[in-house]
Amino acid sequence: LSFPGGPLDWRVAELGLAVLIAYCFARTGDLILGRRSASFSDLNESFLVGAGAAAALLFPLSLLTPGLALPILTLFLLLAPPIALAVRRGRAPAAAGRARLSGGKDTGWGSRSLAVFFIGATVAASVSFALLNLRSPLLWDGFQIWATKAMVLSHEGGLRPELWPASEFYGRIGRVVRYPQLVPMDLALLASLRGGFAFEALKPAFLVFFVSMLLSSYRAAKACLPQPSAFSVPMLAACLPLMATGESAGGYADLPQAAYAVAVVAACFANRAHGRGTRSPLPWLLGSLPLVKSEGMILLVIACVMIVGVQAVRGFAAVVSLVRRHWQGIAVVGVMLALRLGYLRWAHYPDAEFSIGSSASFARALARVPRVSSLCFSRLTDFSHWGLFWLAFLLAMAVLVLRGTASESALAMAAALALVAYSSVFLFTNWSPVELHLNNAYDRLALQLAPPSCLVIAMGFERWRSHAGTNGRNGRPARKSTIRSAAHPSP
Amino acid sequence: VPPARSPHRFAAVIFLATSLAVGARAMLASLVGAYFGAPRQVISKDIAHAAARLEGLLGPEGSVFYLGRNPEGLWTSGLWERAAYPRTVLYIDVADPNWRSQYTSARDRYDIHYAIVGQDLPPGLRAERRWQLGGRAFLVELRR
Repeated sequence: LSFPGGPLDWRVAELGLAVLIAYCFARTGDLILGRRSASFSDLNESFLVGAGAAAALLFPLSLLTPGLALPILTLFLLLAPPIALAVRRGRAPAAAGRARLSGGKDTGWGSRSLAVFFIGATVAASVSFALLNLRSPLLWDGFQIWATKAMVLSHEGGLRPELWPASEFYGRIGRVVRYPQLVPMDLALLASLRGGFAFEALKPAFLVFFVSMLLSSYRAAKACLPQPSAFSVPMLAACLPLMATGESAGGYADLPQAAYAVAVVAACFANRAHGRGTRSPLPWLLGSLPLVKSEGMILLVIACVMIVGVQAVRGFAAVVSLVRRHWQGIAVVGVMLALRLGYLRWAHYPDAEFSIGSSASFARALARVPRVSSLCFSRLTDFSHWGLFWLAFLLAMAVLVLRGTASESALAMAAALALVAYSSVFLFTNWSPVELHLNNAYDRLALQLAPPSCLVIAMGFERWRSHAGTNGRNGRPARKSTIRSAAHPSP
Repeated sequence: VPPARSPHRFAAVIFLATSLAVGARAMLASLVGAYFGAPRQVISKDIAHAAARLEGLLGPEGSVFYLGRNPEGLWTSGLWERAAYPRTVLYIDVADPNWRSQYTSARDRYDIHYAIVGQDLPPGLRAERRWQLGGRAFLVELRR
């Protein structure tokens, strides 16, 4: 196929290698979780766990074996599938979510048609993203930050405390060294396997993250929503303009961060039958959040607060019991967090973007509250970027807080809290004027929260529907059962 | 069964239709832009060839300046930094009032003798020799 810019390169080899790397990560994740994934959904979760653990390991490996960390990691990853398959041969695959899915299916003609429509729209949006990702060049951050860090990682064979010699001169490009390593590591591994680094050739890695985000969205949705509503969640995420176009296809790390954020939600809702402690995917996914983008630290804190908060509602004893039962998982999160903080300390590069901590910075932040609030509101209500998405989220959140279960309310409040936290960081920016920074970055930050917010919207709608249905039948408000049980009551 | 015209169904239909319409419009516009308008590669062939010529002239070692003006210089120097990697390309914004002290400090600290320029040298700098790298880019050997 020929276009004005030249013939289309389908990058079949690179796409194959990106999938191979994801598969190797998935089997690494299986080794960590002590399971043998059989479904795409489980493989996807293991992929994110494996990639997060490898990114965390890359830092100590870079310290212990300078210049050899990436080759060692590559070797281990290529060995992971045969080892995982040999070690876990004969063990039953974890498929708790699948059993629940079949139990909640609505087989009516209308529901089936709606499900087919949702799946068709999701596939169409995915094909559109794949075609766009294939052709569009890397955009600013994708090129200047993520792919550049991957280029250096690929060339140096490991992480370095400075980007390259003289990169710290007047602080222009050196700050890239502070950015987390998960996405650059994935791109550098792809470059290693294809035999050389080329900027645009690495784009297929982002298609893998796009599909991963959809699979995690569906995994979370099917655990708590009836069909066909569960299919609407990945469709809504895939059809968001910012998710399917622009910077997501321009090599930014916000798409991978969104994939991790919704995977955490899926692990909270869908994995009750899975392992505990280090065998549970949740702590590994939580610990991976700050290894994708710096904002992941905020998501990690909010997720932990909400998980503890849901228990705290039941009393202090429930929190103590949670800590006792999951101390190994808490240790995993602690170690991964310590590795991220250790890396920042090692790089020792000052953060010139934000000023937090001084009284002057707080005074400046307070003075900015009206302006930043107004700007954030106008970004979130920009119809061409979001349609009615955040308005629907607001309504759904109100429904879930009033009518939902504790975990549904907690998810809605966590997403809202993360949005408020992401808005608040601009109060402390050193960019002047503040609009410059906010207009550059805010939509992308909100995008990270979009897949969990899609779930909140679908949950809110189902809760509203089940409430209206119950009231329509007997005039009494619906009991706070789960949405699935409300939609499909047992006989 | 809730009535067919219940408000939650109406709201869901409006929301889904809007989401699909907004998404489809953005996807179509982006695909058209990417396939019929956008450059295919972030580092153009001109810069890639010029970087190869730079290596031919200077060998694999040695840092160079890129002398340009913001905002165009910021992006173009970034392209040069990556195209010439692992050679260090150090950007000086000659529109900055303090560029001269930055230039002198970097020249002495990193022992830089060459600069990539897209136009004439800024006032106060003189060239020993000059080579065309390709397109509008030139390599100059700076007179100390």
